[in-house]
Amino acid sequence: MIKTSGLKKLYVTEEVETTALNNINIEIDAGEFVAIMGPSGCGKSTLLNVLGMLDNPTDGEYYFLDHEVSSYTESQRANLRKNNLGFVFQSFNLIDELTVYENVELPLLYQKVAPAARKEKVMAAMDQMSMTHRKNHFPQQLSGGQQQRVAVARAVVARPKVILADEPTGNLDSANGDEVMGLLADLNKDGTTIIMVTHAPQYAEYSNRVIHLLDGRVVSEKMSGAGRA
Amino acid sequence: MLKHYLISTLRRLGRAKGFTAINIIGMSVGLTGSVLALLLVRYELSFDKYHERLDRIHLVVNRSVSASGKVDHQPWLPLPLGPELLATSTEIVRSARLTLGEVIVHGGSGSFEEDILFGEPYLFEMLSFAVIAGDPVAALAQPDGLVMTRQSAMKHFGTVDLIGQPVSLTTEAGRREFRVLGVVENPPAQSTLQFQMVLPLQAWLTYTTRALNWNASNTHILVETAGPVGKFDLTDTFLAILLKNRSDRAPVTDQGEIPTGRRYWNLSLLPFVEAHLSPQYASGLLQPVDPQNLMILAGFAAILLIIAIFNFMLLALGRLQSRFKEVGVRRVVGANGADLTAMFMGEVLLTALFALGISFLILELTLPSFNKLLGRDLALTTATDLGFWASLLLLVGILVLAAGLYPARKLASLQPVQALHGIDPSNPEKRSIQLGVILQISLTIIILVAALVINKQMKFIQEQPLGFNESQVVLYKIATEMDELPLWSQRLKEVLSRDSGVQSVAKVSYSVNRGWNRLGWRDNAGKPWRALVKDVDEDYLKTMEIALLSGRDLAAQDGEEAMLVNEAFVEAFGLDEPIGYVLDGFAGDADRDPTIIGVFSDFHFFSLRSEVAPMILWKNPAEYYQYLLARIAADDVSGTLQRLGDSWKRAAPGIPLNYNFLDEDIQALYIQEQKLQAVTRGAAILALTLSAMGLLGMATIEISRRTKEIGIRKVLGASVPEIMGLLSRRMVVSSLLANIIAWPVAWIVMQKWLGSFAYRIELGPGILLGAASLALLVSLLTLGTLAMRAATANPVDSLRYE
Repeated sequence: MIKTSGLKKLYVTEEVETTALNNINIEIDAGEFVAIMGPSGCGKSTLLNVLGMLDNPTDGEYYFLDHEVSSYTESQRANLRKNNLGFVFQSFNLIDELTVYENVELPLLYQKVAPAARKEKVMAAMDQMSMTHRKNHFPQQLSGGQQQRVAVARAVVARPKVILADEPTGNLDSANGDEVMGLLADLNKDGTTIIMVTHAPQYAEYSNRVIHLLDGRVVSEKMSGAGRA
Repeated sequence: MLKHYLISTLRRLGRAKGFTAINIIGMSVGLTGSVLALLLVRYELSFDKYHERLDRIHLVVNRSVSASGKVDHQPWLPLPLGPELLATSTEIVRSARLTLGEVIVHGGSGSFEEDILFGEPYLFEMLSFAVIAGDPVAALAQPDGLVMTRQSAMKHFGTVDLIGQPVSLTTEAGRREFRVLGVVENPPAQSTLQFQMVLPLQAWLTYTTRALNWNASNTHILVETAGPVGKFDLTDTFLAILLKNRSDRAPVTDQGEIPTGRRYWNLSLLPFVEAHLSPQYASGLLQPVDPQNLMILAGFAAILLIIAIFNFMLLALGRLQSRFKEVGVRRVVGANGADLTAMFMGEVLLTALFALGISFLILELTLPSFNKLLGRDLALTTATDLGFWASLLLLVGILVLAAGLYPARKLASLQPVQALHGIDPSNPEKRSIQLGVILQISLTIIILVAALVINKQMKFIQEQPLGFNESQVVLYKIATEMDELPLWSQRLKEVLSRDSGVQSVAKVSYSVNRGWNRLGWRDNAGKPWRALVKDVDEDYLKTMEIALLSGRDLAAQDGEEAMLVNEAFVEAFGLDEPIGYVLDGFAGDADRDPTIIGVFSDFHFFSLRSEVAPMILWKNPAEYYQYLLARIAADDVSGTLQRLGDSWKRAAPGIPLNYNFLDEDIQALYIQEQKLQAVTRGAAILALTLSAMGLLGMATIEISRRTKEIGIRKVLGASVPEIMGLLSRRMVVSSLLANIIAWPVAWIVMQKWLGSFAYRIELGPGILLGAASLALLVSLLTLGTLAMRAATANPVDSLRYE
């Protein structure tokens, strides 16, 4: 499903040139739950952004569903993104002016889903995340855990093939963190591929493979938790 | 999707109330100004459009060129030219001469003075005035015919059913009976020709004496051509007519050479539809507007709108960062650039529509006073024409695109990662924002300069010594037939002079803004002379307090042989020893050799737009004095006026009492300028307010962005004044740089405006510096309170802000 070869990402400013990713070769199959770990600044988020087509690599190839996307324009990437990917962020990234319902509905709007189908899907996603009772609240009126559940609902509402999660538990206490991880694990069981960046070893346990990065390189790849079981 | 955008936009606008208010207020003021300008310009452009044969109707006009090359635009022409054109040219199929006059209407309820037209029958055939009863064409063909409008018919008789009704009128020729043979609707407000009554041309006293006189110009001539404009070149016809009847004024001599050393005429056709926008042909009958003033008004409206656009754009750019997260999220869930552009443009459109709604509200409230100021009847409700709404649509479209496109592009071009992480890519907006602020301030400075210049020029005009003392002088009009003027002017002068509150009384033929008479003649040596000639009596200089510079004043025993001239006369004709100079050939009369007995100081008979012209004062033997000027004592003015009115009515019950202060007539010369002054002042205040509001918004953004920096600086020991200086520096620099753009533009435009005054202020650095400091002051005051608050805040609060 996902394959990279010789992936490289450089950040160039007038003064310094930083290598964020260096020769990344990974392959992720459909249905996998992959955790990406490593210390701060090792390139985890950059890798996730490139895999999520939020950013283009500087060099190398990236195959997503057999499309070579490394040189796609932003609008081509946007098109692939909205039909295949869901995102969950550490800081939730809900739009403050929109209610819970409207935040979850947003991806469907951009996919031009018909109103009736839209409602059905939004309600289903919110039901799945147990947020139906909060549908008319605004994000500021919710706790962190609730906000992240809304974010997960938004990520899954369009039934994406892959969910990319960037430290989804980073801003949550352990009870809420466990709950969100449980949700992701459930989604994975239903067949959704999950790629997650995390700091926390206990949450990496939920994955079946852990990729360790250091200074922009893959230093180890091993089966873990669910994978070993 | 539309609903989604609408809801999220409304919530966002509601959340940022301050910025939304600045944008909506700014846009609504800009739109209000623009709609007003649009209404006004369309109003002025649609004068006389209702005449069916408009494309064939023309005014004959004369651009006469003096020996020195100065062009004088005149709609006044010799009476015999009308029939001569009809007889000579096959292309001119109809003509109507017309002129202004006054009559006294003797009705059941007393005598009223009324402004009228003297005209020829074709007038009502060429122009489309709606007929209510009778036949106005036939009416003007009768020597005693009379055409009334609905308004005057209702005023004098209470009915329009008047055909055959005898009406007793006193014209200059005397009192006699006319018959109402036509009643027409009132001329529309957008009609160049305005009248209450029309009398046949033959009833005009001047016509009876000058019908064949090519040497006096005292009529307007309307002609209808055989086809639409543009097909006719009547140059040869006009030339032939001049060579035949006024060879001394023909543009070429008999030998075909361009004349030198003398004035010549250029007769031409002015399409009647253009008359309203041809200020050079202003006469009592034609009261055109100056397109330049319309342009200035439209310019003000445009500047207000542009300031509003800048406010919107700058605030949007300044707040771009606050929307990064939202844009990033939308990107991540699938929005493309077009989606984001559409969303942002939708916000701008919504703001603009709110503003439009408010501006309609403002217009409903302000149109009456605006109409009163401009003497127009503009209305939104009658603006049912598609053109207006199409222009409005275009205007809103331009507003939305101009205000939104750039920020929208910036927003839409953000890459998702940059947006989500709040990274401003090297913040290139800083530069465009500062440039925008500079442009906006420069527009404000331009309007300020315009307001200051117009204000100063008007003040200058008001304070400019006119060469006479215009205060406490009352002008009485003697409205009676011409033959009776010598008798009544003398009798009423005596009546007024007897009053203890009256210091002196003079008889005059013309007064400021009340007609004039210009004569040209050749002396025995063939030298051409040309001067304004005013008939006055021996009390004129005294009453007007005009200084006598040399020689002596007119005396009671003087007759037509004694003349006073002004300094301009002495200078224009190079008289080394004016006193005793004999003006042989004066008025083309070989037998009359008047002598200059005195020189009086120049005074302004016309507006300060024109230079003081050579002038002669003399006692006209005909004694056709239409006005009395009375200088009254400053104390108990109203009592004096009351007594004078009573004495007048007792002495002359048949002559309506009609008086006003001379300074009112002088003020009336500058009505257009006064309107312009009022509008400019308003526009300047609005521009300053709008741009201050925009700057306030910008300062809010700037300071909130620099909160952390301020905290750090304070921790490191910066003082309050130092922080204030830091925050104000960019604003001061922008305000100063704005002058580089504003000064040249303002200077050129206002220099052109001042150019239409012969007497004008110097547009010096004072005004430019004044406008600049005013703009700077307002910027600093705007910024000051915010900067003060930020600078005096507790540093811990500023740091915690992160």
